[in-house]
Amino acid sequence: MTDFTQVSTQISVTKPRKSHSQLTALLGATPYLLPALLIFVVFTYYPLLRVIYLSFTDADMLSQAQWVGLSNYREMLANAEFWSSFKITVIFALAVTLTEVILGMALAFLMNAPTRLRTLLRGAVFAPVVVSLAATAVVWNYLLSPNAGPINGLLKSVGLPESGWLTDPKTALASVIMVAVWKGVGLPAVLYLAGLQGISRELEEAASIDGAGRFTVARHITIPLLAPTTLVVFFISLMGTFQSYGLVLLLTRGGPAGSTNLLGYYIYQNAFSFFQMGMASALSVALFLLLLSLGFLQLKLAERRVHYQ
Amino acid sequence: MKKLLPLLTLTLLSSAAAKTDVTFMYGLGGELGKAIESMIKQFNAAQNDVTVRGEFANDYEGVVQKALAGIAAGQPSADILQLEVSYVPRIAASGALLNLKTMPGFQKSFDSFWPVFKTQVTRDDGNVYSMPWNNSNPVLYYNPELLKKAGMTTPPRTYPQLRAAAKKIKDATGVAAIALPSFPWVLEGAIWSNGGEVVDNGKLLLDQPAAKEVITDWAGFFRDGSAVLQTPNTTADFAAGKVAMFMASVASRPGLNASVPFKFGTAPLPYYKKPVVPVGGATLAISKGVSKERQDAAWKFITWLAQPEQQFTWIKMANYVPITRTTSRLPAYQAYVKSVPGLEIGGQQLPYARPRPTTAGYVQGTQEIIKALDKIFLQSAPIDATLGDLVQRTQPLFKDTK
Repeated sequence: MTDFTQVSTQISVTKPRKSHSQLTALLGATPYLLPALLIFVVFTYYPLLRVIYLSFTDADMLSQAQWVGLSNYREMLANAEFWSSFKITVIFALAVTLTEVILGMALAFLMNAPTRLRTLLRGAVFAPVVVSLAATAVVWNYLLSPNAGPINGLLKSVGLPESGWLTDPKTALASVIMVAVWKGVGLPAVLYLAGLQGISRELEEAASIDGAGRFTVARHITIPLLAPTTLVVFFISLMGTFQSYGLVLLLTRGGPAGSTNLLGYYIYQNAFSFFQMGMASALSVALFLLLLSLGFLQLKLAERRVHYQ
Repeated sequence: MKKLLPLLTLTLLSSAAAKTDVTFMYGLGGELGKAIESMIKQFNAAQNDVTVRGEFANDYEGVVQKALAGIAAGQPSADILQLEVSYVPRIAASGALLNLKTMPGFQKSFDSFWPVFKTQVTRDDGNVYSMPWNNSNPVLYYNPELLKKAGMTTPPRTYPQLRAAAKKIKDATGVAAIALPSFPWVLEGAIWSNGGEVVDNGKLLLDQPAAKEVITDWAGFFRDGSAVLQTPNTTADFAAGKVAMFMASVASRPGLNASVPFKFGTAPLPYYKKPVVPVGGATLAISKGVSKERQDAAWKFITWLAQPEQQFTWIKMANYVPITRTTSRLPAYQAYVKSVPGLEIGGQQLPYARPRPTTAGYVQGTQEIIKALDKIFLQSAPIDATLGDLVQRTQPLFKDTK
């Protein structure tokens, strides 16, 4: 009984001391944190809250915004254009993300292999990431030109059928996905390369000694140990692709026939072409909530399925 | 001399301080952007009261975005804005633009414009919030060699002739005879030339017989394989001899001159029943929120640009059409356009030119029209149903149109 009293006395004495020291530490750190915090508040949190507010108004940036309640959200959900754009965005995001995960991992294996061309390959794979989006669009617009483009010229010369690429509603989305993967796969590849180099060689060697082939080692040892990297790649890529609009703005402007009208571009159009800032804000909030839920789901999944070395 | 030096410096400084600085935000790049910067430089050198500083906003949408940001912030993004005609009514309605009718010498300057441009910038209430400047109309560009291979020595003048020519060219050469746009600028002219209207009485009229006839005819080009969709690559395709004809602004000529390796031909825009062409381009507005001094300085630049001599200099660089009758009558202009075959067409088309619809909903409506036309042209969507659906869906956008 005495012991308990002693303990409780100890606690009651040390607790204020601890929180006092924490407070001192916080006060000491505040001046250092303040600039970063200010930047976050001004450029991230305030705009976020402002967008949420604007989504309940008829804001057009030209006149005083009036409160319209849930009207923008009701209109959004009843609009076939929104659902079409949503569907296109989901297809785009999943296609780009899955391709980047698979291709990024495959390229990382190649980049990790001890060949003479390793440095060149690493440079070549990562180069598109640092190329500006505008330059990417100019180059691919030319390459994919249906009439005078070299890709169709190549297809024709080997007797294969030509494609309308970005100008055909049937192939435009696939073409944009292809360009997005070309532009973005370098980053996942480098992340996977870092992941591969972080895996202990002893594990792979032990499996090899036990008779496992290269494929079996990759399947049962390497790839499972790359799960944390896969999670990061998946998360970054999915978040990026759901918000993507620049490529579409430069390559297709959402066309032809609305076949590449990603949500990001649809938001941009509503805001800056149609002056419907209220609707654009409602669409942005919907996208934000969707990404928040996806992020949450992904983290929950990661807790169960990702193995750390 | 030592005593004179401070005095001289002071004089120079005071004369520099007396100059009013104004910013001019424009949305044209490439050769046209260079032409704009050249005009600014010439203006700054020609007088001592105003200094104009050009700010490139990437494209017309960029100018609007920056203008909107300025309006929202309560601080105009520039003194002078180059606004594409369709954006002016909406921005003017917000009160962000100066009513230019209040400026000194307005009427004299305004009266010199071609009637089509006066109509284009005059709002329903009679006020004028922007002055014409870089305006154009579309023409037909063609590859004479490909037409020759199809046995043609002259370009088609009417749409029925264009249709027949397109079939011949496709059969004779195998290349796409024409690139037709789903952006409705040229289509508007075609519909008007067929006796129809695009927007009237609170609705889009593309489902009406005159418009439907035109769209059906255009769809025919795609369905018989003689047309491709006009895209940003069309100029490159034309230059590579992969497309025989396309319709675009007279101001596309500097870009074509720079990229097309052969001597291309220019012909008036084809028509159905009577020649009509749409005009387009941008106009110059002054932000209302800037000081009176800056408004006056901006006005000085705008009226300077509309002078026949400056117009002529601008036309030589950018190939836009003359916006004033006095420029059209200028002997130097007339001699110049005669020296370049095809260059005179833009000016010759002005007597039967019409301004584009500028109702507030037309910018958004245009996107819907593009989608519908893409479906009809590229996916062979049923014309009646697609146009009916388009008109139905866009009704809220045009309900206030008179």
